Amino acid sequence: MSRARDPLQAGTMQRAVDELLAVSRQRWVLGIGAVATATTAFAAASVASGGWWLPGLVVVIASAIVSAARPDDHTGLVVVGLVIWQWLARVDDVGTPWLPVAACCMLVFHALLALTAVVPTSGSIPGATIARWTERTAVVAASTVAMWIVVVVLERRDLPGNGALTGLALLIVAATATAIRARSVRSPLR
Amino acid sequence: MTVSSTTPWQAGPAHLRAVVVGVVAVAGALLFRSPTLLVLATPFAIVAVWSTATRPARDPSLVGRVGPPTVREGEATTWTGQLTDAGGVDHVVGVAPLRNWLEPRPRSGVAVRDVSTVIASVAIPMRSIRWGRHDLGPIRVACVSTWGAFRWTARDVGHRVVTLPLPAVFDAAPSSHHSNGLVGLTRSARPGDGTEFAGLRPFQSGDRLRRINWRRSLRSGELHVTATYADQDTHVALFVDAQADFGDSGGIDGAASSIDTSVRAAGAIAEHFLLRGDRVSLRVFGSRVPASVAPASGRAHLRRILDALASIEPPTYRPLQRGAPRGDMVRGDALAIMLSPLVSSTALDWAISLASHGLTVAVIDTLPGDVHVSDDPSTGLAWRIRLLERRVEMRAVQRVGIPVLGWDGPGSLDPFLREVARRASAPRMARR
Repeated sequence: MSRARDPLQAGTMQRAVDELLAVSRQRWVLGIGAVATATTAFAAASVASGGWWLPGLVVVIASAIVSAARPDDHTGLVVVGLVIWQWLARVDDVGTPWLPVAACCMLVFHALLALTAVVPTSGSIPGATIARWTERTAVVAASTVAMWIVVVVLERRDLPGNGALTGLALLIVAATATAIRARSVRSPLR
Repeated sequence: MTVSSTTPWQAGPAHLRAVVVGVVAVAGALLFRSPTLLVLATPFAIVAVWSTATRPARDPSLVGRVGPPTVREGEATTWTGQLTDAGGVDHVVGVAPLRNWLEPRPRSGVAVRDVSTVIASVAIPMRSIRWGRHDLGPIRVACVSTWGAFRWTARDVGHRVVTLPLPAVFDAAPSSHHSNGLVGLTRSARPGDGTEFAGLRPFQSGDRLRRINWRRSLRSGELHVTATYADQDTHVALFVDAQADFGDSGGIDGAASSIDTSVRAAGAIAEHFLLRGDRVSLRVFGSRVPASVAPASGRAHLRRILDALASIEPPTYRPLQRGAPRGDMVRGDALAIMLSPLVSSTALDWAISLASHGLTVAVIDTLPGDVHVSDDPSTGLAWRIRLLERRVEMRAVQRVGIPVLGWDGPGSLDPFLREVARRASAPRMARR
C-alpha cells in the first residue's frame, strides 16, 4: 500500500519549484557572480598560504549560495567574516598580490548583495543602474588597491610603532563610527 | 490615488555589513597592528562612509495613479507611482502582485527605475485579459539609497481596474419583431412617418407637403403622397444566468468559459440592437453582485450595460429565488433573450414563465463543448447524467415554442428573428 503524499508538503515543494523557475536570467548571473567572488576571495587566501582548508571552503560556498538566494539577510556578513578569518589565520604576507584581489572580490560580493537585496528574484535591474554601480565599485576597488600599495610601502620601510598616532587613529575610527551610527538611525525630515 | 502605509528610511543589512566589517576590522587592524586586516577592511569602510554621507535627508512622497481606470478586454492600463522629494535616492523599485487576469509588463511585475533628480516615477503597465473588476494592489514601492544602504518603502492599495467585456462579433440580418416604441430603425407594420416605402395614396389633410409625389400627381391629375411605414424600436430584454461558471477561461486570448460566452454574447447583442436605435435592458441573476439595467437606448446605455456585465461575480453558489422576472423591466412586447449554460433548470423555468406571459423568448446555450468537471468517476458519472437531463429539458422547452440556440457569433439569432418577424402579424395566445 503506497503512502499518500502530504498535500501541504507537496504544495510547498511546488511553490519552491515555481519560485525557482520564476528567477530571472539576470538574477541567476548576479547570484552566480556573488558566489564566485566569495569563493575567489577565500581561494585567494588558500593560494597565498599555499594550503587549502576544504571545510572552510565548503562553508563559505554554502553561505555564499544562501546569501545570493536571500541577499536581504545577514548571511553575507558570515561569508565576509569567514574570509577575513581565513586571511588572518593563514596568511602572514601583506605584500602578496592576492590580498587586493581578495579585498576587491569581497567588495563585489557586498555590492552584488546590496544591489539585489530589494529587487525580487523575478525582476530585472536596468543596465544603467548596473553600469552606475559598476563605476562606483571600480572607484572603491581602485582606492583599495591604492591603500594596499601604501600599506606595502610602509611595511617595507619597517617604521617603528607610534602609540600617539595609533591612539589618534583609533579616536578617528571611534568618532567616525559614532557619526555613522547617528546618521544611520536618526529619523529624516518628513 | 491612495497610499496606505509608508516606512521611513531605514538601514538595511548591506549597510550593517559595511559598517560592522569596516569599523571592527579597521579598529582591529590598528589595535593588533595588522596591515592585512586594514586592506581587507578598506572597501567596507569606504562604502560605509559613502553610504552614510549620501543618506537621503527627507522621506519621499508617493502618489499612485491608475490610468485609464476602465479598459476593454485585451487593453492595458498603467499604474504609475510619482515620487517627489526623491533627493538621494539611487533607484526605485515597484512590485505589483501577480493577478489572474492582469498581465504586467514585464511579466514579473517588477519595475526598477534609476533616479537622478528629486522627482521620479515608476510605472507598471498591465494588460487586462478578462472582463470584470480587478484589484491591482497592493503595489509595493521601495526607494533605495546609494550602495543599497538605506531604504524607504510604501504600499499603495485601493486601485481597481474595470474591464469591460469585449463584445463578440454579432450581426443579425432580419428585422426583429413588432414593437410599440416611438423611435428606432425597425420598420413597423403600421404606416407612419418613416423611411421605408409603403405605397402611394391620395393626399389627405394633415399630410406633409414634402411627401407629395409630383410625378404621380401630374399623371393622375390628383394629389398623391408617398406613404411610408413608421420606424419604431424594439425592447430587447437580456437575461444572463451567472449562477455558475463552467469550463476553463483563458481570458481574451484563450478558451471561453460559459460565463465568458454569456457576457460577451450579451454585450454583442446589446451593442447590435442599441446601435440600431432599439432599447435594451439587462438582468443578471445568480451573481454575487446583483446587476440590473433598465431599458434605454443610445451609446451611453451600452456603456451602462457593459459596466453591469463587468460586475458579474459568478463562482459562489447561492440558492436562487424562484419565480419569473416580472415588473417594469419586461413588458409583454419585449424580445427576451436568455443566456445560460442551462446546467441549472432555473433559466429554462424563467424562459417558460416569460413566454407564458406573452413575451417572445429565445434561449442561447453558452455551455462550452469541452467541460471537464472532475477526475473523480462518480462526479464524472453525475455530470453525464445531468447533461442527459439537460438535453431532455431543452427538448421540452423547444416543444413549447422557445428556441434554444447555440452561440456562433454573427447570424446566431437570424433563424429565430426571421421566425419572429414571420409570426409578428399572426394572432397569438397569451396568458394575461
